[in-house]
Amino acid sequence: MTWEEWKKKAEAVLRITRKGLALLSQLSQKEEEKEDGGK
Amino acid sequence: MMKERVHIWEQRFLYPGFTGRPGHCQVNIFAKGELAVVVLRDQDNHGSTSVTNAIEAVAAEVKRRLLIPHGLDQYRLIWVHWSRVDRVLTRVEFADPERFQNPSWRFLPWEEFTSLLEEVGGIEEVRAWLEEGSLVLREMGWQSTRDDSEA
Repeated sequence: MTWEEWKKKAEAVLRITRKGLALLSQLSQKEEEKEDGGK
Repeated sequence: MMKERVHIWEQRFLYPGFTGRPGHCQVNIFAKGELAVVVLRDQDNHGSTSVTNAIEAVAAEVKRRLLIPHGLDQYRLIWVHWSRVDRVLTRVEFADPERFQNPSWRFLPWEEFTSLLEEVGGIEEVRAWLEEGSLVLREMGWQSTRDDSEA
């Protein structure tokens, strides 16, 4: 892997981690609320 | 505070990247009353570090170069990231909004976004952005785009 390719991958992993974790947490919370509402 | 609508934009806003090369995105600021909505738009090619990864630096640069010179830094600020890279529309909040530290992202529902933009007089620009084709996740309530229909 070239340095440029590695940088692109590292950038994408960091991006997905930063934003993805926050968005996943929001989605999980919504799902929990739906489940609680359905009980 | 300005009663009239204010729209400030920079087509190619440069910000510091991690690797020495600057990244770029489009910045639109819509302000009216006491509210300013900052929309950061990347075009699937940020040239370096993405807006997401450099959000602290991007926000600080927007404040220094656009908000302060136009007297908008004391407005209630709402930060929105319209990302073609991630295909999502998010609202960004900072735990420390003065220094733009500890950002967090949440999905911004389409209705909430358009309502915000209507409040600050930016809805016409949103229509134009949709024409460009950008966000594709129908299930999140964002509108279909040309990209979407071609997929």
